[in-house]
Amino acid sequence: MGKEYVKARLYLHAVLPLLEEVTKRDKQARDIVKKLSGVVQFSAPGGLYAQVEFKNGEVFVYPGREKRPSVILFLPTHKMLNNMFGGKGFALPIPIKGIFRMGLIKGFTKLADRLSFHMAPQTKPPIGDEKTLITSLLFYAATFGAVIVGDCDETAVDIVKKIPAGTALIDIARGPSVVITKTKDAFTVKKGAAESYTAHLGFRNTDLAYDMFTGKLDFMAAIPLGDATLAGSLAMVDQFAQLMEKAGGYLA
Amino acid sequence: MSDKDKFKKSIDLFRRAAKVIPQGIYGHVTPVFTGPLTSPYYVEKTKGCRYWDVDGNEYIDYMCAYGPMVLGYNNPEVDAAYQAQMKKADISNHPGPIMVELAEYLTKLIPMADWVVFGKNGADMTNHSILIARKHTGKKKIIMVKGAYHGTAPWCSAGHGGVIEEDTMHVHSFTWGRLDEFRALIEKYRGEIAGAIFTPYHHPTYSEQEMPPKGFWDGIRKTCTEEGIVLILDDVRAGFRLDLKGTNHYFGFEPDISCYCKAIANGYPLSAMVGKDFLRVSSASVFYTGSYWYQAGSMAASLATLEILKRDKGVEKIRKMGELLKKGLEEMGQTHDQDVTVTGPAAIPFLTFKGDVSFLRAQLFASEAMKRGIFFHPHHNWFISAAHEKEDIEKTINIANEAFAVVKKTYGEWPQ
Repeated sequence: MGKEYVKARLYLHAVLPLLEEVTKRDKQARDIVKKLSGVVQFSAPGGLYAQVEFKNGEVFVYPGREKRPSVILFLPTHKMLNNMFGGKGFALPIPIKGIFRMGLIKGFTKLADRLSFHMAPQTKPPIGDEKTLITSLLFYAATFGAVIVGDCDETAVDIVKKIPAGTALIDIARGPSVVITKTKDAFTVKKGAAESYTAHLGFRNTDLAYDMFTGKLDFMAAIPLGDATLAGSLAMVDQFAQLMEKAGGYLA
Repeated sequence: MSDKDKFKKSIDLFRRAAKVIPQGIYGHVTPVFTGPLTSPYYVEKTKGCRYWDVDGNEYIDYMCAYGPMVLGYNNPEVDAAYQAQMKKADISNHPGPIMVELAEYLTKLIPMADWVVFGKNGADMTNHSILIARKHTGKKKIIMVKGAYHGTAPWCSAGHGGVIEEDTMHVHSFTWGRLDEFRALIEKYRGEIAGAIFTPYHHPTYSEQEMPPKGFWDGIRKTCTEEGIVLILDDVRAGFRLDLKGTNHYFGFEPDISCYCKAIANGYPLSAMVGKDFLRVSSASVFYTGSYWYQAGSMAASLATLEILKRDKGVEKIRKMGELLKKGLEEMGQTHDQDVTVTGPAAIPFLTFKGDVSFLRAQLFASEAMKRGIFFHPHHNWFISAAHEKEDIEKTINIANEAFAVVKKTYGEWPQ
C-alpha cells in the first residue's frame, strides 16, 4: 500500500483512538463530551473506516463500521483524509449522512482540537498531569502505530518478517500498557497487560517514557541502569522499535 | 546479596559512562545483551580462561573477549613476543620486517593464500574484500546470507540508524543453506554480480547456529566459478579455532578471498585478508590504508599465537574441551527436563532452549550461571580457548546443574 494509505490508517486507527485517553484525563474534553451523543463515522477508499461513539459522557473509538452511524464523513482520497487530520487546509467534509447533526460534528471538532492541543509540540516541557497525559498519547500512538505500519507498509515487510511469533508486553510502570501479538497470519495490538510474554519492554516511570517517545532518551544506556526493562526476545523489541520509528516518521 | 549489590561498582561506573559515552557501553559488549543488572559491565583483571569484574567477581569465561582469546588471557609467550617487538619498534614511519615474516607464514599456513594484507578489525577486511571483488569484476552486486554479520558498514547493515536505501541497493541476500535461493539470485542478476560473501557456517545472533548442509559449499564454489563471481569467506569469527589452515579447509572448499581477525593474535589488534593470485592486481588497485594497520607489535603477537597453536595442537584441545562442555550441558539440561541443544562447532558452541524464541530461559540460565562464576552469553555464540582445562569444564557443568534447577523452578519443564 502507498504512503498516503499507511498515513490514513495511522490517523484513523492510531491517532483517532487517542480521543478516549484525552476524554479520560482532560476536564475540558470531558465537558465537551458530556453534551454529545451519537456515532461519527469516517470512511475512506480501500475499506478504511473508523467510528467515534459518544455515549453517557464517554468516548469509544472503533476501527470498523459496526455501529449505526449518526454522521458519515466520507473522504474521497487518503490524501484529503491526511490533510484533514494533519491540519493542512481541509476542514471536515460535508457529511453524506447526518447533515442535520451539526452539533455532533462541532462537538467532535472541539474534542479533536483538545487532542491537537496536547499533541502539538510543547513550548515548555510539560509537567504533572499534563505530562502524564501526553506520555500516554505518545505511548499509544507509537505502539498502535507500529502495528499498523507493520501491517500495511511495504517498506516494513522485512522488519515484520524478523519478528518471531509471540506476544510483546510494552508498559509504563503505574501507567498504560499494551500487548502486541504476532502470529503467522496476524499482527494485532490491544490495551492491557499479559501474564506471560515473549518479550517485555517497560519504562520505570512516566518521565523516562516521555523522554523515550520524544527522542530524548538514550535507550541503550537506560536499560543497564534499570530505567527501562528489556526481557525476552530482544529481536522482537528491536524490530518493534524500528516500526515505532517508522510510525513516528509518518505522523511527524 | 542482590544482583544490584553484586554488580554495584559496574553499575556506578556505567552511570558515569552514560553521561559521557552514548549508550554507556556500545556495540556487542553492551550489558543490554548479557543481562541488565544481572551481569558484569566492566572488567578489572584477566588470566587464562578467567576474568574478574570491577566488583571482584570471578568468572570462567566462555566468550573469550568475543573470540580473540584463543590461547587464553595474558598468554606469557604471546605477551613476550609483543613486548619484544614493542621495545624494538611498533608504530613508525615504516612497517617492520615482522610484517613480511607474518605474511610469508600465513601464505604457507593457509593453502589457498597467495598474498596477505593486514588491518585492525574484521570489518576492515570484509569491506576491503567487497571492493576487491567489484574492482576485479567491474560489477556492482554482492550476495550475502540473511542474518549474517559482516561488520557495521552500511552495505551490510540494512535497517540500522543512518543507513540509507542506496547503501544496500546492490546487496541481495538469501537463506543460509538454500542453494536454490542462491542460484535464483544468480539467475536474476546474471552478469551484475561481483562477489558473494559467506561465513563458513551460519552463526546469527538470537538463533541456533547452523552448519552447512551437505553439498552446500561444493555448490557455492561451482556456481561462483562458473559465473565469475568472487567467493569471499568471512572467517573472522571461526578462523584459527577450527582449523589452522582456515575454516574453509575444515569444510573442504576454497574461497577466493578469506578474512581473519579475532583469534589471529590472541587479543592484540590485528586482522588479515588472504587471497588467490588472480586477485593480486585488483587488490593492489583498491585504496587501502589506516593509521595503525602496520603496527608491528600485534604482528609479532600473531606470529607467536599461530606458532603456539600449531606446536601445542591448540585447535585439537579446544575442540576436545568444547565437546566435553557440549555433552555435559546437554545431559545436565535433560536431568532438569530442559530440552536444550548446543549448536555449532564444539570450539564455538551455543546453548539454546530448543524452539524458545523468547530466550527467557536462556537469559535466566546465563544470569544464574554468572551469579555462580560462569560467564555464558544468552544470545551470542560462545568461544572456547586452549586455556580451558578439563577441571574448568567440570566446574562449569556443576554450576550449570544449579542454573538449570533455577530455570526449571521458575519456568517449569521445557518444552512445556
